This record gives sequence, C-alpha cells and structure tokens, in this order.
Amino acid sequence: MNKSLNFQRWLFMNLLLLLGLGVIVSIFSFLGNPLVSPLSLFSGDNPIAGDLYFHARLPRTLLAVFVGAALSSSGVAFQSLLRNPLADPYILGVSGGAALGGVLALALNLPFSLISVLAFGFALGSLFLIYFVAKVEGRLPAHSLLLTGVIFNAFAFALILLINSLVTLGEAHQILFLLMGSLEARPMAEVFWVGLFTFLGLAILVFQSSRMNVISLGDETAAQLGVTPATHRKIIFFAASVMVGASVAVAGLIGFVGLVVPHVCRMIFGPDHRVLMPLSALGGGLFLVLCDFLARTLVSGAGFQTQLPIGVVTALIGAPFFVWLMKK
Amino acid sequence: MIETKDLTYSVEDKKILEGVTFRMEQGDFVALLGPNGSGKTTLIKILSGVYRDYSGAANLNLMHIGRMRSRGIAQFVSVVPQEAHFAFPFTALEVVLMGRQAFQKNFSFDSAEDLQIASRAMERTDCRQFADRKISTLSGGEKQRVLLARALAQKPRFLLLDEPASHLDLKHQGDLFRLLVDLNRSDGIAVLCVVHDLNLASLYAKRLLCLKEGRLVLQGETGEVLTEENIRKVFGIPCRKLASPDGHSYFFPERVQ
Repeated sequence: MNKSLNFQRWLFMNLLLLLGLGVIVSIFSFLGNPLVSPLSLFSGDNPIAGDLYFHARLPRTLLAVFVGAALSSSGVAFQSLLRNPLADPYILGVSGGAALGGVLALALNLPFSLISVLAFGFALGSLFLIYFVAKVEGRLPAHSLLLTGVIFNAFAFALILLINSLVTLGEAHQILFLLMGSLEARPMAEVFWVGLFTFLGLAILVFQSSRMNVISLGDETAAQLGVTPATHRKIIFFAASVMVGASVAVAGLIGFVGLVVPHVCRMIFGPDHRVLMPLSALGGGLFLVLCDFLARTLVSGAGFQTQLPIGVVTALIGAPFFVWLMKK
Repeated sequence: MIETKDLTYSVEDKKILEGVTFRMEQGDFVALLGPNGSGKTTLIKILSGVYRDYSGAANLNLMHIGRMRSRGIAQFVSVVPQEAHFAFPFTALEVVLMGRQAFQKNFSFDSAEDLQIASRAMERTDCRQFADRKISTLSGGEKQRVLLARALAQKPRFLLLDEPASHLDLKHQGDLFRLLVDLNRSDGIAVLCVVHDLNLASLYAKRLLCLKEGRLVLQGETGEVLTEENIRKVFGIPCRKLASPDGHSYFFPERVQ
C-alpha cells in the first residue's frame, strides 16, 4: 500500500504496464520460426506470411495472454481466500477438475460452448469439494490443502484415463492435448471467448481486491473489521472458477502459472491485492507468452518438426520454483 | 450500549456460555476475568458479530447483534484479538489501514483522512516507528501494538480486547493500560478487556465480570468484587490481598503446599 496510492495513480500505472505488455507481446508474436516481418503483413507481396500470422501466430499469442492472465489472477484469488501462498489452480486440483469436465464433454462430442460450461462447472465443484475435504477445524493448513490437491488430481486423472480408454483414437488424441496443455490451432472465436471470460472475471476480482486483503487475515478478523467473508468468498470463488474453466477448456492443463507469477509479483510489489491482482494478470500474460515462445522455438530450432507442449515448459520452470518456495 | 440477556452459546450440545446477562454503558471500563475455557473469548466473538447462532439476547445500541451487518457492527465495535496470523507479508501500516475497511466502499483506496487516522492510531500505541516493517518481522509485543492501532483506526465506541497484555513487557503493559484509561476517559470509549493478571484488573478496571464454566458468577464494582473469598471461588486458589500505602489493593496467590 503505497502511501500516496490513489485511483488515478493506480489506473495510470496499470495502463502503462498494459501498454508495455502490448508492445512486448506484439514483438514476440513476430518472432519464432518462421520469422514474420510486420511489414510483409501489409505489403501484400507475401500472402503466406499474412495467413500464418493472422490464423496461427496472432490467435496463439493472444490466447497465451488471456490464459496466462486468467490462471495467474485466479491463483491470487485462491491464495488470498485460502490464506495460503501455495494455492495454485493446478496444485489445488481445480484445473484437474476442469480438465475432467472438458474431457467428459469431448467424449460426448459436445460443442465448444458446452465444453467450457462443463469445465467451469467441474472447476467450481472441485473447488468446493477440495475446500471441504481439506478443512481442519475451520482452517486450511498447507499440508492438508496440498494432500487433498494431490489426491483429487490423481482421482480426476484416473477418471480422465478411464474415459480416454473408451473413446475413439481421434478423440483420445484431443484428450492428450488437453492434458499436456496446448495453445496451438485454436480458432479466433474461441480465443475471443476466453478473452471475454478472462476480462469479466478479472474485473470482478479487481473490484473485490480490497476486501481480499481483509479476508486473507481470516474469516473472524474479516468480520470484526466489517467485511462479511461469506458473501465475498462466493463471488470471488465463482469468478476465479469461471476463468480457470474457460482457460482449461481451450488450452488444457497448464500448471504453475498461478503459483510462480503471483509470488514474483508479491515480492516486487507487496501483498496489497488492489495492486497485486491486475499486475499478476499482466505478469501472467507476459509469462505465458514467453513460455509459449520457448515452446515454439526450443526444439523446432534444433531441427525437429514438433513443438513442446506449453504445459511441459511451465512445469519445467514451475516445479523447481515450487520446491524452492516450500524450502524457503 | 452493549447488553446481553440470558445469552447462551453452545457447540455440539456443550454449553460454552450459559445465561449471561450484563450491560455495558458508554464510558465503562470492564475487566473480564475467568479461568481458561470459561467462555471469555466466545463472549467477545459474539459481541463483535463473529458467532451469530447464539440464543438469548445480545444487543448493540438496542439492535440485535446477530442480525446486524458486520460493517455496521465494526463501525462501533473493534477487537484486539489474542493472536493473529498473517499469510502474506503486509506492512504494519497496511495492517492498521485495514481498520478503515468498515468505512470504505467495495473497491477504494485509502483517503488522506484514512492515512491520518491510521498514523495517529500508530502514534498512540507507540508503533509508528515500524510502520513500514513487515508484520511478520515484529515481535509478539510489537505486533500486539499494531493490532491495537488497527482497532483504534476503526474509531470504535466499544473496544474489546482479548488478553492484550499477554505478549507485552512490563513497561508496555503499563503503557497499554494507561492508554486504555486515557481512551476511556478522554475519548469516552467503553473498554472490555480480558485479563488474567488480577492486579491489572484491580488497578485499572472500574467494573469486573467473572466467568466460570460459561456462567457469569460475579459482576460489580472492582473494589467490591475483588476479594480473597471471590478469587478462591472463581479460580480455585487461595489468594492474599495486600493494601499498599497508595491505597491500591494487590493480590498474591498463596504458595501451594
């Protein structure tokens, strides 16, 4: 809480950083294999470059921004409500639950809109299940929360593999992509919907952010400071689950974003959620764009045809980070 | 005015509080005494709107506390808890500013007035010097002063304290109770304070409430209630009362044979 922080300064800072993110993101959307020159998009002498950019590179980069923002800001929300800096949607099992919903919808050949709805419903359902299982005498100790997440993830994955063994080969391939996390080849319409859900969810979370500060002190203290935790908890859990559901439905399981980014932002900008929430969203977008750049270029530059799944890249960065955080 | 009538609170058939009836006026200074597990903390949580499923009556300014919004209660009643756990590295000033939440809109930043109130509260509890330090780096006593400053930032009419002296050294214990007396006298804040030290109660409180096994076994003027006989009855230990030349009474538990 900067002593002179007011709404104007807050807005200015966020817009400035948003602009910075926009610039960095557009630069990275041109980089990669093949390199796309911004000029060639408008000169018209290279129609393939335009196609590649507008149908592959741009939707993919935008998707990375939205999914990164959604996962990161929902991580901040879970961390504050569960009063635990390790609460990331992936580790908690909320993403696993959402993936189960998404896989179920895939297996049933449901349209995209219903995949999102099912993923969101399962995300919300798993969150409440995890919350009630992990609760010990009204509190959520770290070990209990993490254990519940592990068990819940194992259970969700078992069900996913069960479904996987019952479907056709084509569907099984789609399910595999969902499990590894992938930003590839999503139509612009889906990217738009994820963007919309992310934006709405983020707006709600930012609006709730000053109450999150108080709720992170615990329900009893929050009540004594004049904030009814139950009301805000419902809104915040709902918004965060919508964001997780939408991003898992489109991009699959991408872990650790909601852990790494909020933590780094908290170290730099402090724990005040009014500042932390929008900055974590921007940071999450930036982080996933960078990870996606690595995923696109690391192995393809080495002469292979394939690309790394994005979930692999975030896990390779995130898991050691998690260990460091636990040991700190 | 806070008043309760036949206030009863149970958890799974076990009565934590039973038939508690008392009244606290503006300007009161009440010490709440009682053995461990006698329901002192529970009483504070009911009066501050945390536990709402009690039976009997608990009123704040003639309104049912159980039916008031937390925000409405927090604008009149503030609490210094026994202990506080912080999951995130807030600074002391940030913690104190959270005392202004009950007066702020859903999404808002701290106004110049909020900052002034917070900084004044920190001055009064002698913790302004570590305003920018992380709360987790403070000692138990320093943290206690920050929590008291947060309670003062709520500009309460009723200040409820749950064993505020437990982490404080002798100097800060004295400072705390002198501050409470001052808040009570010059600001007219009613104080309800859980204490274990009979001498602190005897020196500073105007009235005493004694809980034992959830029942209010004694209440009245400090001088009248605090006797060797009553202490034996409530705490089950023999105790000696000594009058000092300055007119105060001091209490010493006898050596157990």
